[in-house]
Amino acid sequence: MAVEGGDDNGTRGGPWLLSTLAENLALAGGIIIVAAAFLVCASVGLRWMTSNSIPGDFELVQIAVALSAFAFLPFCQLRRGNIAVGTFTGALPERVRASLDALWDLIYAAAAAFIAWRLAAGAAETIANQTTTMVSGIPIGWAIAATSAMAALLAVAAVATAVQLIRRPG
Amino acid sequence: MSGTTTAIAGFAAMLLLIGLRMPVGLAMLFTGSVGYVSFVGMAPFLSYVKSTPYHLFADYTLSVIPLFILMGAFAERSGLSTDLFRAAARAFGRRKGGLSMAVIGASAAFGAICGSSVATTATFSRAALPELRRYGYDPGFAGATVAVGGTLGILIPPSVILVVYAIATEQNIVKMFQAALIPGLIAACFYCLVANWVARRDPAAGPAIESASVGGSWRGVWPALAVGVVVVGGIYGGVFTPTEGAAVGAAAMLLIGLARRTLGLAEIRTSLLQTAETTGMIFLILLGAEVFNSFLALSRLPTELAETIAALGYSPLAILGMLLAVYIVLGSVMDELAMILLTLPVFFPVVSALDFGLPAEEVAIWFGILVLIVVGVGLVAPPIGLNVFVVSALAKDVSIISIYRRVLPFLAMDIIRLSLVMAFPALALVLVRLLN
Repeated sequence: MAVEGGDDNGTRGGPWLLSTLAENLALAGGIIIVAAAFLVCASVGLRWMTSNSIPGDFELVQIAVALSAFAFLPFCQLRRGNIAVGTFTGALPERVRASLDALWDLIYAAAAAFIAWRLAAGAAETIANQTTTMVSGIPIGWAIAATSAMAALLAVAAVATAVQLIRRPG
Repeated sequence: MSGTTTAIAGFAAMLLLIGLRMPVGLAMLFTGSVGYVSFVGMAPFLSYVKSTPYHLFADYTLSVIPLFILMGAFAERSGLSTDLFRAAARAFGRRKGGLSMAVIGASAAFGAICGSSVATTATFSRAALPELRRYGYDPGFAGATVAVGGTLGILIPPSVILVVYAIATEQNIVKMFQAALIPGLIAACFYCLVANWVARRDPAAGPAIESASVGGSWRGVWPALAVGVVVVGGIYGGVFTPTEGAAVGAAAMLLIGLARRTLGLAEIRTSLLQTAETTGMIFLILLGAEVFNSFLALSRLPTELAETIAALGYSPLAILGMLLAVYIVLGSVMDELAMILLTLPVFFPVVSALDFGLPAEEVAIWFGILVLIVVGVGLVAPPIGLNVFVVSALAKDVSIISIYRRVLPFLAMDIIRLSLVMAFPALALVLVRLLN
């Protein structure tokens, strides 16, 4: 990866552009969850008043969870939020531990890239079949395509954290 | 290799990778994928991954997890914990060890709004620990109370880890919430007794204080407490589903924070990012567990192991005790959530195959409560008690050892509580039976 953006390569959460992108994506995912919360509240309120909830509300919530889940993952990786067990490797030298972590990051990147590729195939199929949700008729294919794109960003984020670990002196 | 051998090899490989610092969710995802392909070949796996990652998360029930995390994050950022602690300190402060009891009571109340024990511990480390020390409490004792108080949120509904257990074992979330309440309240009472006992034996560790000097009042806390009661009560009474309760709770906590002017744009932003990080962490483990479980199911290991163990003829309670002991050992080196998702696919069929003289559903609920009690023990027990580490990380001059020393009497009480719920399943089940 070329060093761009001047002196900014010391940033903790990966290159500046990537961490900004991941953070804003995570915020967008959070806003989706807040929106889902208010949608469900509105639906509950409506059900109390008219005994009918908002039609298809649960389908919107489903899509919201899937979208926000993938929106959270790149940010979580850049923040090293994924839990690992450090008990048995505490005695290893710092360099060895960093290399191990970098190796797992690369495997994670490969897994995310694989998932992105398969989800893209799934999205293409679903879009071609014009599959929509049952009640509100939302085309699911586009939601799957969005999760595929976010999985690809996750792959990039995992490569970035690996590069950072390898480069770090000491 | 037979199916069972492959599964055992897969399990061993996964544990090895976890021991080598591979993130737990990734280790399950990775070994699960390799195992899956070894059983059915590449083509079915390619089509499995084409739909599973999306459809696993596009799940209405699962939305409960980010919503409860969001509710807790809003509660944490809006400074509710400080107010809760002050109000409780005013009520309990004049007793010996009263401020510790206040921390425990406030943590229990906060646990009814926030589903995460680490978040509860962190917020009371900031809100209550400095106050306890200002009044001359022993730092280790003060830290231990905050750490054990944090574990109350695991049982007191809504609890994220309880939701994860319910989803992993396909149990009714509402019934799990009902079952957890009494054991959770027992825990809070037991901890208060311990705090008082410690302070009586060692008056310098937890002196009584002049209550009025804390300056707290209930006026600031009742709206948030009301939200907790409405959410949990509404879920208990079937007024709304867990997802609806969580949505109402998250929205209400946001509005309360805005009204109290304690949630500004910066705090909302932090709450959202905190929700993103925690949810992302949980969802990666859920994805890994899904793939690993599909592999295990193909291998038939869980069913065969369950049959073998049931055929050994040991008493069901002895087997249950052994499983819980495994959790205590695992919990001392591993994250609790990962531990649960890792073991349930194997342990749950084993427990389900045992005869405790209870209906299958009640056994599942009861086992869940026992596992969660043990998880709570793992959060504060040496050598790796996450809550103790959180306290010590936030109060840098309080050593981990000094907290552990003061945690021990609380742990003794946990063992008593665990034995009680093991001996009397009704403690967990009575509310479920009454409300359904």
